[in-house]
Formats: sequence, structure tokens, C-alpha cells
Amino acid sequence: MRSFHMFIRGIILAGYALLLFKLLLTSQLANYVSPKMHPFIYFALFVLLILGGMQILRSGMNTSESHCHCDGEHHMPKTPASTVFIYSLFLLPVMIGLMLSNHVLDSSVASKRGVQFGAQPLAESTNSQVQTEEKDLVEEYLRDPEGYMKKVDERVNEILQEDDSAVQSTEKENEQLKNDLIGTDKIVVTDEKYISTINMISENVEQLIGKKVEITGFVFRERDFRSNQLVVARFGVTCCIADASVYGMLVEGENVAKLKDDTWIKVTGTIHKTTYHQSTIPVIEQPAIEMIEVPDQPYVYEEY
Amino acid sequence: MENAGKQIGKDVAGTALFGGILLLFLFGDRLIDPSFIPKEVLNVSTLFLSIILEAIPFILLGVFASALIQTFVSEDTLKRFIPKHPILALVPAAIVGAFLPICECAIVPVVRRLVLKGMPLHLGVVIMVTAPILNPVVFASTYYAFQTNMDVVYARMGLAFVASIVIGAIIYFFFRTSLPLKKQHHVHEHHHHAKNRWLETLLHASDEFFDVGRYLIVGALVASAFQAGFDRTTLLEIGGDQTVAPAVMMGLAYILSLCSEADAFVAASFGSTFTIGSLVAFLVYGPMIDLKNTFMLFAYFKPKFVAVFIFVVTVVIYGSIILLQSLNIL
Repeated sequence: MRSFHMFIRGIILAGYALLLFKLLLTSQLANYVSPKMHPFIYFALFVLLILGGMQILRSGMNTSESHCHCDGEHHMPKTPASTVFIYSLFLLPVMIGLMLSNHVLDSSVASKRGVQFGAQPLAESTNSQVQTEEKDLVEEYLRDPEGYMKKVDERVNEILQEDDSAVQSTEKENEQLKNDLIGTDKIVVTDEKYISTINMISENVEQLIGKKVEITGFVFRERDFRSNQLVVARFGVTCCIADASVYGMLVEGENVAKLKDDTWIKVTGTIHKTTYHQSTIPVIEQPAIEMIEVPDQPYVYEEY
Repeated sequence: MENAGKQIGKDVAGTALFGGILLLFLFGDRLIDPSFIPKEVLNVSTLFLSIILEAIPFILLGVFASALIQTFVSEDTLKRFIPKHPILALVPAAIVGAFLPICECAIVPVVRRLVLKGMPLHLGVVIMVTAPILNPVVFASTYYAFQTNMDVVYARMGLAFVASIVIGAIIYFFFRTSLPLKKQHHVHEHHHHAKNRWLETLLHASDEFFDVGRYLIVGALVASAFQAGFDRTTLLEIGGDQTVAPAVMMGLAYILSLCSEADAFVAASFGSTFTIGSLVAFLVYGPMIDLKNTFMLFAYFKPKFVAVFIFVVTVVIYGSIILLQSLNIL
């Protein structure tokens, strides 16, 4: 009986190995797991092959070595029904992966997550302490304006120094990207720097008004959009697509009304600003729209 | 004769299974036209598979670490490293958790094995809740997601450390005398020939993969249904409420079952509407316990322990967030 379970388990493990192998061969693995995590998948493939092969080989031999010496601890399914149920459960991911690996998350998922139009400041904390502190500061300033300003200068220098050591490298990269954006006439939002570019455009929209921008994504609409509005959006992934957030830019123009949700498009237009839900966000106006095929790499990935 | 017939039947079943998988490997994507399948089903199954694929390497690491401990670490060795005083031992346990570079999928089999080998349960719990948060990868991703507000990063790490010790102490109080492991079984020392030890480790790891895997799969299935079906934008209106928001974000962290390496970016996407306290609650609670891990705990522990554990973690984290808010720290 035990050797039967070993045989089936060995085959299931080999099935998982085949699944990973196929996803790697067809480069569809990135449709599930961020490239950053792929080394772990290679490790898993290797281990599954060894475990599966060993189980299948061992199932043929009926020696006492063929099971680990802690039988009481591991449980084998007892009835035929539970055997079928449990092994079907294990086969479910393999079957989904081998048959349906072409699917890309669509706008119905996006609408449930909400779109990020770029980096947003954290909510203001409503602490009463802050207010009393401010009051104290005002009083202090009224008593001794010069001394107060001196203190403020010192504090500012302190903060600048702290910042310098801690966040220098990311700061530098962001500064570089910002200068690149301001220096160029046409901003192309690439897959590699999708999220950071969108964040930068959103943070510096005042300086970028009037510049050309080119961006690729799928069509997505929030429920309260007007007919001339859509978002050109991508799912931004950290580890696996279950943690994906939606990033995108608002597009406005009479020619977007007829576009269906989930159509993949390349938009070229001019950056302006607008107000959406009380916050200032960039918007692409006078858009030229080109319909495209679903890209080989539909997702974008966090860049850290 | 009958037995031989049965045996042949089973061989045929296994071989047919392998043939089927091989067929799907070669032609699987041409068998059905996905446009005939409802989009909701495709979204759920895609999210489900991504959670499984992401978890498999870490489950394998976890069961291997567990199997290595089983084969190579004796109960006596382990005992020598654990301080005698049950309460004083909580702090070193939290530090051990901080140094283990393991996330929440991998830590469950490891902790269960350590407890089987004689580590006191409450210390195992401390390691289980600290390891997924206090580790360099999680620090880096949280730092990157919250560059504009380092308070979130420090609050996440600090609260995880302190809360884990409190949780451990409460668990000690509840389970001082009983060991709530399923199938209690005294792990006796085996005396094998050295050449069998590696083989034994592999067999252990494989059996344990199947023990815990079934729970992982059910957990991932339920979590992916919530992932695809639950509308997060409905939460935005209550984000500013100091008492409701942390509870809501803890509930969200529980059902989404995200990896602790990735949850900071999801938390950041709520940053403009939710209070800092509720974001920290999301980032500390989720790695300690979530839907996927609840199922995995059921694989190893008795239901009573799982219930008490979830209750204690929930009360301690929510309580600390409310306390920190009332002290104006968050």
C-alpha cells in the first residue's frame, strides 16, 4: 500500500517539475512570479526532480529503507475516496498551469484593487499633539525671532545630514531620473522603469506640462469616469501577481470612448494636470492611440 | 492472485496519470479555448497558481530544514542551547527569529520540528512570528515602499519584536502543560548507518511536502478567491478612522495572505487614505498570521491551539496599535 502512495507521489512531484519546466521554456513564468524570484524556481525544479525520481525508483523496492522512520507522524490517506480527493487537490495547480497559462489578469481585477496614478503622500496624521507643538513654536518665535530662526537652521542641517547617509543611493537615482525627464522633450515610459517613471511624472507634473509622453498598457476605467476618460494601466508585481498593484496614467480625449476595456494600446500625447478625487494628477491630452497585441511581458515589476 | 491484480491495477493507474501529465505538458494549452471559460474563473485560477508557484520553493526549503533538523540535530543538543527560565528565554528566541532568514511559508514546518524535538512551544511561537518580519529582505522592501515615511519601517520592526515576546508569554500561560501538536509522537533517536541519513532526509522532506502541501493548496484557493472577488476600493472611506481602520487593515492582511517580502507595496497603495497605525497593523499582523498560514497550522497543530494562537495575535497586535496611537507614537 505504501509503495503505491510513493509511486503516485513521485509522479505528482515529477508533474510539478514538468510544470515549472514548461513555464520556464515558454517564458510564461513571469506571468506568475517576478523575475527576481526565478532563482528560487530553478531551485524548486531541481529539488522536485530529485524527490520525484527518488520516490518513483523507491516505490518499486519493498525494503525497510523505503520509508522514513516516523510513520506515526506523516499520514497517508486511508480510504480510496480520500486518496483520490487529496491527490486531485495536488494535481489541480499542475492542470491549471499546463492548460491555462496564457491568461493575464484583466481590468475586472484592476477595478477591485484601484489604480495608482503615482506616488501619493501618506495620509496626514490628525494628532492633537502636533497642533499644540505648533502653538508652542509660534510663541517661541514671537519671544525671540532670531534665536528661533537659528535653531530652525540647525535642525534643517541635521535633517539634511541624516537623509544624506540613509537614502543617498535611491535619492540619487530618483534625482537622475527626474533630471532625465525634465531634460527630454518626449518621455517614453519603459517597462523596466514603469513604476518609477509614473511616480516621477506624478510628483513633478508642474514642470512637465506640455511635454510629449509615450506609454503602453491595457485600457481600464474607474466607475466614475466620463466617456472621454480611461486609464492606460499595467499590473506592477513585487513577488507574485497576487501582490500586484495597478499603476497607470489618465488619458482624456474624444477618440478614447470607443475603446473596449482590456484592449492593449500605445498612447502618445501631451502631459497636462487635472484634479481627480481631490488630488492633482497628470493627464495625457490629445492622445494618439495605436492598438497593439498583448506584449510578451504584460506585467511590470517593482525596481528594487 | 487478487493482490497481484490489485497491484497491476494500481501500476496502471499511476502510469496513466503520468501519461496524462505528459500529454498536458506537450499539448495542454491547445486542449481548451480559454474564451469559453468565464473570466472570473481564469482570474482566480491564475492568482491561485501564482500563490502556489511562489510558495513551493519556500515550502521545500522549510521541509528540508525540518528534515535536516530531524536527522542531524539530537534532542540533547537542542536542549543545551535553550535557556532554562521560560520567560527569560523569550528574548533570545525573538533574536533567533530575527536572524533566521525565513518567510512565513517556510517557518511553520521548521518550528513544528523544533517543538517536536523538545523546544518549548511558546519559544517556537516567538520564532514563528518574528522570522517572517525581522529579516533583511523584508526591511529592504518596506524601506523602499515607504521612503517618505521611515516611521512605518521602524514601527513595523519594533512592534514585531516587542509583540512577539508578549505573544510568547501569553502562549506560555495557556499551554504550559500540554503540547497541542497533532499525532503526538515521541521522536526517538534512530541509529542508522551513516549512508542512509541523506536518503532518510529526502524521504522525510518528501512526506512532509505532501503533509503540509494539501493545506497550502486549500489555503491558496480560498485566498485567491478573495484576491479576485473582494473590492478593496470599498474600504477607502473608513481609512481615516483611528479605531476601525487598524481592524479593517488587519482583516485585509489576513484574507490577502501576501508574502511578507511583498506586502509593503500593497500597504503603500493604501497610504494616501489610511492612517499610519492601520498600515503598521497590516504589516505586522499579516506575516504573523493569515488565511494561508492558518490552513498550514491546521496541518500540524490541534484546532484549539490554532484558535487560541490567532486570538492572542489579533488581540496583542490590535491592542498595541491602539495603545501606540493613544500615546501619539503612531
